[in-house]
Amino acid sequence: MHAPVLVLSDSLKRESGSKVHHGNIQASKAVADIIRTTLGPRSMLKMLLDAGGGIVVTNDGNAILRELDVAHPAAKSMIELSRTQDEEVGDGTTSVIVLAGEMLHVAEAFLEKNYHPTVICRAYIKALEDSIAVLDKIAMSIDINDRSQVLGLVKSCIGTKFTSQFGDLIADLAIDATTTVGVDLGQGLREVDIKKYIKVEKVPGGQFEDSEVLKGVMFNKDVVAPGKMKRKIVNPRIILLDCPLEYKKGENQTNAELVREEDWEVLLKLEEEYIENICVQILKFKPDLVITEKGLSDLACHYFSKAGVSAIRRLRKTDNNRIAKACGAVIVNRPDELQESDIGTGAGLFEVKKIGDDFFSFIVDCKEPKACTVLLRGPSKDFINEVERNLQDAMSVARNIIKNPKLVPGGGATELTVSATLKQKSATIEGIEKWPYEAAAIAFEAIPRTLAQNCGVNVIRTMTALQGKHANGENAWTGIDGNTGAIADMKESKIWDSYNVKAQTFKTAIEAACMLLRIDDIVSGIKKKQAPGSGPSKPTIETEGDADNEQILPD
Amino acid sequence: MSVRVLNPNAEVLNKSAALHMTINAAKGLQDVLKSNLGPKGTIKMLVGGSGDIKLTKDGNTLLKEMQIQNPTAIMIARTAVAQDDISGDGTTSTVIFIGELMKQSERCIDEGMHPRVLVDGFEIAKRATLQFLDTFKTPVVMGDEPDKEILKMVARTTLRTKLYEGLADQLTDIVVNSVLCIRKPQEPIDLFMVEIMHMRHKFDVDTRLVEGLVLDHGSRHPDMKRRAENCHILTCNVSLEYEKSEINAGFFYSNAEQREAMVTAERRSVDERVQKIIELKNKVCAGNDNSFVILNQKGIDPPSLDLLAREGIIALRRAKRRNMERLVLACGGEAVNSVDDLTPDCLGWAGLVYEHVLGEEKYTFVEQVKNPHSCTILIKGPNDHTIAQIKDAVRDGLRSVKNTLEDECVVLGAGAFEVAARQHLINEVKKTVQGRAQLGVEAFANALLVVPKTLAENAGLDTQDVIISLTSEHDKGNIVGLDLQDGEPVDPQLAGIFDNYSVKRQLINSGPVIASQLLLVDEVIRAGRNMRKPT
Repeated sequence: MHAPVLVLSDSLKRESGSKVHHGNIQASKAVADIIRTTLGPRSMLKMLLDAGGGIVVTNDGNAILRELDVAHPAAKSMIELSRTQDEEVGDGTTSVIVLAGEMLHVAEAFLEKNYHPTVICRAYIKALEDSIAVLDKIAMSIDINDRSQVLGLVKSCIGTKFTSQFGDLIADLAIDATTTVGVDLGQGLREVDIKKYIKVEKVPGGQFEDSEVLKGVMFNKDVVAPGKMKRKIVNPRIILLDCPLEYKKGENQTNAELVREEDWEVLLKLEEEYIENICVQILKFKPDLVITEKGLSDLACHYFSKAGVSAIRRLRKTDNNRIAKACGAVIVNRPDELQESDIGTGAGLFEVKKIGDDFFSFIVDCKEPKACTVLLRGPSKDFINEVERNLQDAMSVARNIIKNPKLVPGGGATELTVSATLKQKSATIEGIEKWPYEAAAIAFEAIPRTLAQNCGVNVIRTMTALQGKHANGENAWTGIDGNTGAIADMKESKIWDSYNVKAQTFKTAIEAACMLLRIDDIVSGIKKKQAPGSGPSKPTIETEGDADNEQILPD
Repeated sequence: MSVRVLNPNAEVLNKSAALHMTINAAKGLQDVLKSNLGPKGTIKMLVGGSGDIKLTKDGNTLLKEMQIQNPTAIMIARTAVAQDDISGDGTTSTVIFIGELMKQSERCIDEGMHPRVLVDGFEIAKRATLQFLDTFKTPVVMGDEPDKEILKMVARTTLRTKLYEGLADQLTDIVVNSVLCIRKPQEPIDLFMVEIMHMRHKFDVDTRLVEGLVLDHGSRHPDMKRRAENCHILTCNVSLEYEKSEINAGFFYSNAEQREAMVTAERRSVDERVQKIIELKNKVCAGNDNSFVILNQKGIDPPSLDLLAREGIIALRRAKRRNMERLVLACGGEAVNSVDDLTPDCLGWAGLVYEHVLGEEKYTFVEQVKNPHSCTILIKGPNDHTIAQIKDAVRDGLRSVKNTLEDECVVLGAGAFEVAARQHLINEVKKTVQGRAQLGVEAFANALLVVPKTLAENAGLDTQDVIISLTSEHDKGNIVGLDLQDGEPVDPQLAGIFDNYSVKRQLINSGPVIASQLLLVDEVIRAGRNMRKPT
């Protein structure tokens, strides 16, 4: 009589209770384990292969995890963390995963003792608040106009990357690029749009040391009529267009019917005259260089080359925007609306250069470029790809400093200070939250511990020594020199981290840990019913029966 | 193994397995290409999927044609190809050098050394070697009149590694002359301005330099002359066909006369253009027996051809865009896009224009031009693979001459640089390095020796003997290279064996970078997003 009431359809798989907690924690730890060896300056690289034959060799946490296809939902959300971190601040992608993994690891013991997850979460959140407070206390401001300070910071942030062996170059590039495109919004606010105004051009071949930030833009195009048009113009007057310099056909299918014999000639003449008119309008402004995003007919090319004007066609919209920013031109939609003020005069030199077998146009030596191109050179494509990833990180760091010029000690010193302070505070906390709070404090030590592990020193001895130094909340600047493994003063060895990155790392890691702990039920739809890994889940056609079932997937 | 937990499908190689996989792949690739290095290297036959055969020694071609599966090998191959794109030579050396670096590292790693330490050593050694290269190079002054002898020696060194001696010596002159021909002071050299044309015809030693241009098509009208002297050349990009309007246009008529009128109207605009050209011809050719040649990038339809032929004008249609540029450089004048304002200034000049028919193919030669800035290397050969081989060699030869002109210096070849650099690293640099990185420097120094070693091996000499005699000469302070004929040390300067500075520089630069990247890999994961295909 009392058959169990089936709320969910049979095809759904459900897990709940401690099994879920355990599974989630295991998965998160596994993710952390994958990238643990890529933390710090002594890190190793991973080689990732995909089905298309692509190869990625990197030690960027986000880049590694992005390539992985994982089955477990909790692992997936861990990977999301790293992506968020990358998009938000650009650095610390590995740290955030390691920290979150550790937070969950210490929580496991409490779950086994039947602590309720919400209690643990409450303690964690409290720990987070306190740790941010500690960060505020030990953070110090720097002057963003002092190049050497900013350089030092960026350098230490990207010191963990593969390219660090080439010295300051990447840091220099990143700072040059970000200061170029920085826009003052007034009231001390600065806006840096990396995506829009910094273009990274990768040209395999040459030496890495040849990479540079151009004071202007470059793009992979040649003039329309090589040989006839000038390839080098000093102080060019630039007109940017986004309309075709071709005869404009109607949008709809247009037919002309001719009944008189003279009409044919008139028709052809008209078409030519149309182009001539446009060209005359443009030439009135005496440009040296005309760039359009659309097509440019042979006839227009003829008029331009006769007037000694170089022309480039079919440029990408984004590139055109950057040129506009770099030389101060305005992109014009209709040639008859051209004004003197629309013409870009900021560029010092237009030049077409041949690198390898390709032609590249350079618009450089701009007076006040608000956009720039970073030209990367290197021995192979894989290598340049890795450099580009490093550069992106470095630029994000540089951007963060410009936005919020505060920094904290690196090399695990910050985490150790936070850990020590929290441990002291835990004594004052009442109730059962005390223990998870203390555990969170200990979890922060995961970062210096991993650093020590990766540089191959005796972990226990180093950690004990460090804990001793930090025990009374002093020596906030003592950490590990990631290269030698020695205990050093971060202030002297100039190992810094950006405040934004650290704060974001802590927040993301702890909040994610809390979220994963709160999960007590995983309901997966029919797609997950196959044994994990037994093959791809093909898109299933919903039959009538389960069309109504909402497939609940943890996010 | 944690990847397995998350994705049971993943293929993972970790720690030492990953390292050994990369090292073995590098060694494997090295083995494949090893026998191709140097003038005594052997040739490989590549058989394509459809049974087509390619005989080559060129590392670049080999790497491109072989289907490489192993990820490490792909990375090395890509580096080598990038080397080729930039400097045009040294692909085989790059692969061999990287392979040897990995081989040397393997020994150290097996002894328990950490890859990081090795990589530090590589970096120090790389910098030192590059500095050494700068002191070792032989500067060449390239004023307005470059020293042809040096250029010839460089070109010969490159070409001899690709072709047999007799042919190489002949091509040397061709290559050097062609680069000097297109060279303009104060401007970068654009090698595209040397057209490379091939004809399957006669023998490989009939390959020659045409000061002018060879086009792979002929005139389309039977009445046009096959040979003309003292020609005015009109280079144009004008359609001499029935013109279509941009929008769809239709003719409507109600009787036969109307239709007739329409047809002539349609024709008229084309005829007018042809007429303008003919007028120009009459202007410049009046009173002398000069000829007139039109080279058009667009089409010329039969009625227009007919009109032109009647006037004794040779017309070629549908020329390659790139050739238009070359024509202007070779013959002078300018390319015109419209016939509206034709003047005699637009015309170029060639002493001789003639057509050569070879089976089905027609070739048009434009020769005896004044002061050319573009020229053609006409490769001849009895069969396709000879031609392909010469083509690759010529390409590399052109690059090497260009590099020399741009670098303004050369490096002694025949392994002299490698041995000297190694001695420098071992005797000087290593002592200044602190700690375990010394071993990295040593490994790097030993890896450099692979070039003379392989050269000797390919020439059938005893490698040990050669290395010993070379290093002992270097210790005495004599800079010597390897004479592949008798295995004795020889002064490369006297033997005229020079390498490009930029090639060596790129080689020293890229090799260690890729090697260190590979050495630092501790896990190879195949678990990409698009691995979902059922297997």
